[in-house]
Amino acid sequence: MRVTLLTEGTYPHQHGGVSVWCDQLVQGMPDVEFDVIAVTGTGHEPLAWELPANVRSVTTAPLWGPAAEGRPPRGKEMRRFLNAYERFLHSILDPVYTTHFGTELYGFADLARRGLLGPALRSERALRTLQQVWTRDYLPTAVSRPTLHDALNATDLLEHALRPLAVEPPKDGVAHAASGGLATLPGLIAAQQYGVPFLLTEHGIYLRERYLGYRTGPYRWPVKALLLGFYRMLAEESYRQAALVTPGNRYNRRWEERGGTPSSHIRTVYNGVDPAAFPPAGPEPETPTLSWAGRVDPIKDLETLIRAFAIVRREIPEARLRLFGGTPKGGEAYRDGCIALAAELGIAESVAFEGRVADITDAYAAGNVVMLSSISEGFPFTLIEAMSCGRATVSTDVGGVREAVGDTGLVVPPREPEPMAAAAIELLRDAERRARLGEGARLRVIEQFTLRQNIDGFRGIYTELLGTARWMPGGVVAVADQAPSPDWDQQPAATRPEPSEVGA
Amino acid sequence: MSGPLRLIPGEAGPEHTMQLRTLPLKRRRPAPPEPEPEESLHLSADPLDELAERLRDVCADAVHPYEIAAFLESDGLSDEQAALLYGRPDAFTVAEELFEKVERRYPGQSSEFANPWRADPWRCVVRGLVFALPGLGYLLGANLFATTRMRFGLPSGMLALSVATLVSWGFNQALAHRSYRWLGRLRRREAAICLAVGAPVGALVAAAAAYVVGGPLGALCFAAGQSCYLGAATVLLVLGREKFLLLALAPASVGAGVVLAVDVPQAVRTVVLLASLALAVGLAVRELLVCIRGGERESVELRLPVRQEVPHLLFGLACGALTLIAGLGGTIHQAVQTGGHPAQETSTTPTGPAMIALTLSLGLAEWLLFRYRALAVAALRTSHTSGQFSRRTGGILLGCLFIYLTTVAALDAAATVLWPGAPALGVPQLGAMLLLGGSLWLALLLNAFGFSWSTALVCLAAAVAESAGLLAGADPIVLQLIGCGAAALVLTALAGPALGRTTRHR
Repeated sequence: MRVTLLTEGTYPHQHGGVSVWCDQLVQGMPDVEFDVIAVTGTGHEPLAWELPANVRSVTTAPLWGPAAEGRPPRGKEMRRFLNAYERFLHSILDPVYTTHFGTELYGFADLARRGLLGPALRSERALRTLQQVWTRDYLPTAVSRPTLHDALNATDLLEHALRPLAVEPPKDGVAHAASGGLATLPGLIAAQQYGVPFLLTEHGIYLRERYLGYRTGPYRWPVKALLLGFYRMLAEESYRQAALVTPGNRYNRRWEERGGTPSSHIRTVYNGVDPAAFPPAGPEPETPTLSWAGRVDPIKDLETLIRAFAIVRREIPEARLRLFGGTPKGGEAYRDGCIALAAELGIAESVAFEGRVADITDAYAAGNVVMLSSISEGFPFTLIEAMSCGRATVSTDVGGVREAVGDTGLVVPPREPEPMAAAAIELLRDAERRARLGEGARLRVIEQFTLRQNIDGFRGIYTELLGTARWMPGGVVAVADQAPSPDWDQQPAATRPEPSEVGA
Repeated sequence: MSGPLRLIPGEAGPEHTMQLRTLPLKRRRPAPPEPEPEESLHLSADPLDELAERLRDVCADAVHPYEIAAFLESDGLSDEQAALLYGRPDAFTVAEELFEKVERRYPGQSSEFANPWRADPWRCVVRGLVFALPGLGYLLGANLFATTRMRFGLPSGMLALSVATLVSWGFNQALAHRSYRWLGRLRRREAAICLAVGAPVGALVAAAAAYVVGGPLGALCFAAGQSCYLGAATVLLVLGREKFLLLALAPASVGAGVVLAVDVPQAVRTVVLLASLALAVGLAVRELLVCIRGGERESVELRLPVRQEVPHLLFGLACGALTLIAGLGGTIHQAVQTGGHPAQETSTTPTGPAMIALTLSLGLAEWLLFRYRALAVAALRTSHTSGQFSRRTGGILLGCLFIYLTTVAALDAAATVLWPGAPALGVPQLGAMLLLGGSLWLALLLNAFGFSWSTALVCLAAAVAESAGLLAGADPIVLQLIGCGAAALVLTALAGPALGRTTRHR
């Protein structure tokens, strides 16, 4: 069995949740041969993971680095490209032309593999085409009066984003994308050109992250509209072409269905941990302690956690807050801001930044209650690990957190210190309830979220996808839609979104 | 970092934190709407209106309802809450309605745009000074050339010195370009290594060339010293330490001032020259050591093809030749005319003030290169069609050229007045000078935009033609007017359309 794993900014060059999952996947199936196509920054990143023997190759598709030096195509071929580019831009900017997106994207892939796409996109004529297209009255970008500077910015961003098209796509096996977005490009080409079944796993929603990222970016409205339009169309194309979409939690289904994935093509596969690697943590600390584990990053919203802890301290003066985890490069300012906040609230001596720990289970064992304060999560490993260690948890209601915790921990709204503090105080004062919740949490992990279940789930999916003798891109796939996990049926029909296109 | 790669610089940097901090807490949990009085028959207010009002900025900037949905979700609005608080089936519907409700806004370019091509004017003044001050070294070393003796009809030693100068210019131009390429890849350590190897090699080659040409020992020593100085200066200029260079030039500058006032024995002059040289070399070595020791070795090997430095070598040679002809053209002309027989003593070089004006103006030239790029980017930000942009950049090009040439002329006039015993400046001389200055500036500009081969070839053609004409006995001023004039014309013809292309300014 052969699988090509498609990643962006994660495995095998970076650490983080998605990388952990990729590593678990390749380690867990030593009999499956993996090739990795990794979309990276410069292409010079060192490997962050030791590759097992069944990973045969790692191909990088760098987004940055110097542009291709070749010349743009000439004559008839250049005219054909410019016409295609015009239709491509229309498909992004005008809902009427959406069907062109896929066709032109696959055409671009041929140019890209011959080294011509970059030079063609960077040419003066391509720039003029963009400037003419997006200033047409019937397109929404026209009112924003795009300048040539906008056109240059948009072209550059698009050129970088399309660079993964130049990678040689897999010709057999399964193409398995570990996230949406640019990582799916080689998979889409493989599906379209060689009929390779394309599997899309989404732990977070790539498109949502892009919308949030560009919101505060430096670009003007038309540039944002074009680039986010591109990402939206790319997401819809990959949802349409995927033989199967496997979100890491049910919460993410909403975006996938909204983006046009047929419901029958979505199957939730939860992350898992090895309950033996995360055994019951043993006796609780003597001093009432809240512990937290993760990367020190704004998305984890440690500020709310610290504010909540300040309230806890008012009620339980001897309480402590211990934060475990490293600060990524560039995140020092955020950490220092958090330390300053603790000092400002007068709780500096009770809040400890412990840094990276050798054994993460120590972080969970260090707390009577384990906290998760993120404003965005997929299906967080730290949470199910803490649960596996048999600790009671208080976590914010984001992403798949509610699905993970079930009734074995307390869930509070994100970014609100008061309810978080109230939940923590409640648990700190009730040892019996903590013990009951912790026991339930471990049981829940063993029943539903083990590593084995996750890996067996994907092995089954690979076999299914390869078992279909003829797999046609664009929909028909002989994957039996198995009975969804029992949780699905509990979802009230009213809250299930209609799979129509937003604003289309 | 894990997750999607950033296509935007600083997408989630400290600004992201700032943004989170500025969000009011509990944004999405409005107080339940005031219950309408029972007797009122008005419809109750839609709570969405209030949300639209609060999220006006987010909604007005949105490019798609998804953007608002993403924001609402990141703020914690779930489908249950959408139903409970706003009576809509899900968060997407809330987002769609908000997108409809709030009118888009399209702010223009932000005024606090940080133009990447800002230049520090003081730095440019310092650079102009360090380009011009070494000229004073010739005053101090004049006796070393032993002007009474002649070789090939030229003051002995002048030929050797000229050859060494040419070699240094060509070599250091290429070396500087290569080091800047390393710096452009943010590899200061590699740049320093490149300079540490290249600068001594360049000095050695230039000195060897002077030795091969031959001349009196004093002149050869001066040529060797000059080669070393030019190597050290290249190091300090590329690494951005022009102030160190200014410091190194202090002894020579003060010494030259004294020489102009009173006669000083040669031994003292030599000591002063050596002091400046030793300072420059010492500071360069120190800077290189700091960079090489301080920098960390990059984990990934990177190679830069040497082939790409060839046009810069040729360009350096051509510039050197054109400048030498401008400076020494008269002397060479006389030598050629008299057929190698010493006719009269060539005591003062009438082109001295012109050379000082030209070298001083190089600081301004650099500043104007930055200015041109900054203005071109500004033009990009205001132009809506290619035609508009070409017209604007054409105007900017002419404006910069005009400022540069007027300044050169003014400096030339000022230097002529201040230079003791300099003959009055003639119109042809000034014209030749301005054409040379204009050509050099245009060539530097085109070089900055990557047209290295075409500029090198144009300048080289002009230099070869002028040299040939000079050896054939033609008048140097006429030659320069034709040579530099043609070069200036060709370069303008190249620059106009080439730099009018939008994609050149990315």
